[in-house]
Amino acid sequence: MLQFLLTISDEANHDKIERIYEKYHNKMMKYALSHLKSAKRTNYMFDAEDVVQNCFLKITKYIDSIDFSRSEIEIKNYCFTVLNHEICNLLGDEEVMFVDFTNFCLNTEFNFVNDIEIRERYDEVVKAIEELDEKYSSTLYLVLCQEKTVNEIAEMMGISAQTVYSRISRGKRKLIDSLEGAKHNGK
Amino acid sequence: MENKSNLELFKQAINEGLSNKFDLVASGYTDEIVCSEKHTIVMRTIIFGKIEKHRKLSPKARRIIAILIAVALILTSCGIIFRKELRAVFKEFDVSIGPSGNDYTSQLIEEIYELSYVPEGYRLDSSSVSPTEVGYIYYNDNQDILTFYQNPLNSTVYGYDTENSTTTKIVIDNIVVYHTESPVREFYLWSDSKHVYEISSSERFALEEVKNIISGIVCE
Repeated sequence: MLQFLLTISDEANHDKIERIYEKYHNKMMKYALSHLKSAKRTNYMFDAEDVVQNCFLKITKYIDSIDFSRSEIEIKNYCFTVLNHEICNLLGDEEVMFVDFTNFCLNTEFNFVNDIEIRERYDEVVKAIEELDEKYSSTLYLVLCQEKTVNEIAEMMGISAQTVYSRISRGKRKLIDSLEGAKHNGK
Repeated sequence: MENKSNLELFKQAINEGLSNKFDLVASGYTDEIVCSEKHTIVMRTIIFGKIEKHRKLSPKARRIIAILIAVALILTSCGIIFRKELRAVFKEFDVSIGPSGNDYTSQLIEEIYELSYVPEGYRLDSSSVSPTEVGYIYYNDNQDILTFYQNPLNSTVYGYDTENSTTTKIVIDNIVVYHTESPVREFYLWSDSKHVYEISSSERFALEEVKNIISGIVCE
């Protein structure tokens, strides 16, 4: 409790967290309730409040890492990404696949982007990302859009680096499969 | 879109797709949201924690604090103004006289001494003689007190409150005498090879008178 009180001792940060609360708290509650109810959690209301509180604590803790000069959609995605990871941590049913990340390099990891004809198939790519489980798409978002390192993501989300690599790898694989499938169906 | 690289477009697509997904999932919950009171309090603490810490005092609390501060200031001022009178109350208990006759001492009084001369107007009020202490107490009509004590040298401890007092060394009949002067009492302390002697008085005697008293001390 003391930590986040110290974190928001700066008046500007205080305004930022208040702005996020007023804009997104209700929708975040709905998102959490929707996920937890469909996960058949017995006390999903209590769990939803819990994850939303933890989410805001994390947002407050890392408030300085949020670039408020970015678009509103990016700020919203960041907040919901944090929330999504809290929900995943609560549900905790993820099977982490072993990934050899010794040669992980962002530049080469996402070379596939050049092969998916994104300019011609932009709407399909958006749709494929919509269909992807949020834990994969949000991890890809943190890596590519927020430009976080694997260790930063691991620390922020309270998960292991192996889990982060696993989500990146799986997310990428599922996205490519989804786009390949869409391509074949289109034919 | 033409000016953006494939990777930038991909990032844009992720942003869009993710935002759409979040909205879609959130819209799947159509029930009314009623948060618990505990959640509201926790969220208020997270969001407005800084303000909560600096909540203003109620008028009643402010009045009580103001009264307490005023009382403290008055007491402190009185303490400063009447400090001498206050000190006098405590000073009387700070002077300690040597061990009583019932205390164990390794040395006993061998010769008993007494005053053969006392200033005019003083009369003997009481005396006490024991192996470890000899004492004589004199008063005059003004209730001024004069005392003479004799104790064994090696087993006696004298204690004085030195606050607002001065101690000087004087020589009377080749005897080094320690004179302690305080607002309410005078003390004259000296010793020989066997005993320690003390004369105290509430009246401030002239040095000549003190010399007469000390010179007039005789062995019984």
